[in-house]
Amino acid sequence: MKSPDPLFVADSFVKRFGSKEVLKSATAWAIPGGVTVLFGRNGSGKSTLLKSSLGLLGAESGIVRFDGETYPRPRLHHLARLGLMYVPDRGLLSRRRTLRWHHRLLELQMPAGLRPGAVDAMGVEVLLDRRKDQMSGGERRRADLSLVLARGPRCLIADEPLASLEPGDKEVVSRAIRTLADGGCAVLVTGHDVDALMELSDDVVWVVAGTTHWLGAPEAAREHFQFRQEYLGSRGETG
Amino acid sequence: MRRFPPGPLSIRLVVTSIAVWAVSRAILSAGAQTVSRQLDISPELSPTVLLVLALAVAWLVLLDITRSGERVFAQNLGIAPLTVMGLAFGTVAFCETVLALAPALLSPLLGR
Repeated sequence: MKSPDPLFVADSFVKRFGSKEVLKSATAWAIPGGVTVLFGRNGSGKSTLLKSSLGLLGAESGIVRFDGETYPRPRLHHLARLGLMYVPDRGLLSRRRTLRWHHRLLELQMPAGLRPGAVDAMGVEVLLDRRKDQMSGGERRRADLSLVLARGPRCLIADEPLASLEPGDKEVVSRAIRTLADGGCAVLVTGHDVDALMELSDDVVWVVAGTTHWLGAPEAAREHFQFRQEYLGSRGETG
Repeated sequence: MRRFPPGPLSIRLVVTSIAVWAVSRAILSAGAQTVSRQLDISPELSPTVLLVLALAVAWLVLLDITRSGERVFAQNLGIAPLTVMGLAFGTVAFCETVLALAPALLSPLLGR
């Protein structure tokens, strides 16, 4: 791991579903000012690692360190109070509420420290009075990111934020994540969109066979023989 | 550590809890005899039944929030799921206490 020290570390997580051991010893982190990307095949345990480290799924073992403190039993609501924000793969929005309601709630719950201009930055003014089911996939993601930008978290954990987005939305969402990281936020994301995520990342972690492998910077990751062979496939050759 | 107030989500939960409690209380009051006969309990046990009902209501409220996708959003705002359930349960218990004490509190005012 490189300096500065990670703000968030999910350390040595073990998770079983029945007799199937999904995570054998998986570790991931988020470094202030940087974007760490977790790559891995479907079912490799990327989402399980994120959910386990936030207390949304029980784990057999594993601890979280956040801002120098150790949490043997991490809880999302507790970490959120310390400045962490989590965006699940299905998004942040309630299906019954408008985006305006979410922003108003955020404003009322956290009056101090909200960052202005998030709605404009994500181009979601026209979506404010729409519910989740009245938005396209790209609009939902931009709406999610408008909430994240408004909150201005110290640490963002997002599960597949670029999944199923058209190129225009992908660029807007990537730029928003990069802006957050450049502002000092520690970012940890998962996904399969190799080109966009490689461009976004500072640090690459590969989840395979229930464990995690740190591959370093994206350039180094592209040179990693096994990662190229088993995950990138033909993309590795062009990189 | 920075703490956040319960906020509007909690207020909505409290209002929902009161509404559900009022309906279930009315049903139970109206059919107290039938309920005690059906469940084979004495009418004096109805507070216990109400308490169990209150807990069930709290769980239903929590389940509703979970299903509508608001749970993760609430947690992102620093609200614990147990706090949500506690609020719903606490509201119901509070309403029940007020109702139990109301005759004694109101009798001097009513001159009885």
